[in-house]
Amino acid sequence: MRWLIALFLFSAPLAAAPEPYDMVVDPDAITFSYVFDEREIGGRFPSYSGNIVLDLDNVPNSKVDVTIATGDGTAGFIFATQTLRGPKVLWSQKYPTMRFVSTSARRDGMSAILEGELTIRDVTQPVTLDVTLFRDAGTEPGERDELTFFATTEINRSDFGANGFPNLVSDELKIEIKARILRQK
Amino acid sequence: MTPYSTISKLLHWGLAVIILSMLAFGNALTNAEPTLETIQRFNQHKVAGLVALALILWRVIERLRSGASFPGGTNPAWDDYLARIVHIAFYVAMIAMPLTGWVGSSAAGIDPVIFGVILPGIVPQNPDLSDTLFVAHGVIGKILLGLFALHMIGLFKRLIGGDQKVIERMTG
Repeated sequence: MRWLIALFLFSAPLAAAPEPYDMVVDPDAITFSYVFDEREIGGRFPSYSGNIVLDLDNVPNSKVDVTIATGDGTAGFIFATQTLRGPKVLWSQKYPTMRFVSTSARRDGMSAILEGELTIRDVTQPVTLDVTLFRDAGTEPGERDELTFFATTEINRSDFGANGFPNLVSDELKIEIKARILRQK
Repeated sequence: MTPYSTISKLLHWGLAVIILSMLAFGNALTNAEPTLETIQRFNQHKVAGLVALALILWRVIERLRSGASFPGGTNPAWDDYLARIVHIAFYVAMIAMPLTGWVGSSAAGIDPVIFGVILPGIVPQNPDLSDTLFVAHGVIGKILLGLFALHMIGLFKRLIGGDQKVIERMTG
């Protein structure tokens, strides 16, 4: 368990320009949950790559662009995983990736609101991410090299045409991203 | 008249039980509520269908290897001709039934899972192909039931006509 401190909590802004970060690939970083047959079930997307540019003093200069491999996604149990990758949901053979590209960012208290466009199955829809950046407990308030990027959002899969098995699987999905990001040297 | 080979007889009766059970199983699945249990039952149906396909292919090979036992001369020619057509149609439908299910499942991206392992897809994912094949799967099921009815009619017609050999070649 890593203890985290919200970056905007104590730290005064530091001298800064937009700084590029690498996303550490971690199979548990991008997760989602849905309701299946009245139970909440979790899934994850272990393969992705992202470009993140943070400007902590001028948040609107920040940018996030993440591409996720649909074919490696899992959905809690084997039949759901097959369905997730299959043509009635993500159709990974035809649409091997989905992508989020931010369009605007603004600070909101200790967090930030990141608006962007999410493309799934070649359908692009606006989504809003609530983002909080953390540094590890024990690091200096000015720590910028290794941070945790935590974001949540909710989407309706039918907005993207990923509408298979509506009797069994909820339309609403909760998405949670908890990724380590490393400042590029 | 020589009876069928022992393997042919065992496969005939075994497949009779499997096919009739699978028709009932499949019919129940098409009307089942969508639940996790139903999804697991669908997979059981797919795995059983693969077993049936293997037995059917074995039966076809055995039939080609050991030949058929045709009743001698007591039936009118048109009657034996109809029996031949029903038998050939049975083989075609028996092979087409599991194949449409398997290819349809693969095209739907939901390949059979055996002991927790997803079998590799045999065709590219294609929902239109999948939908078409599952319609065909249902139609072939009805054809199999129809062939089963004709098979029984033929059997009873012969038994009523005093031809015991027709069944003894498969029971003897």
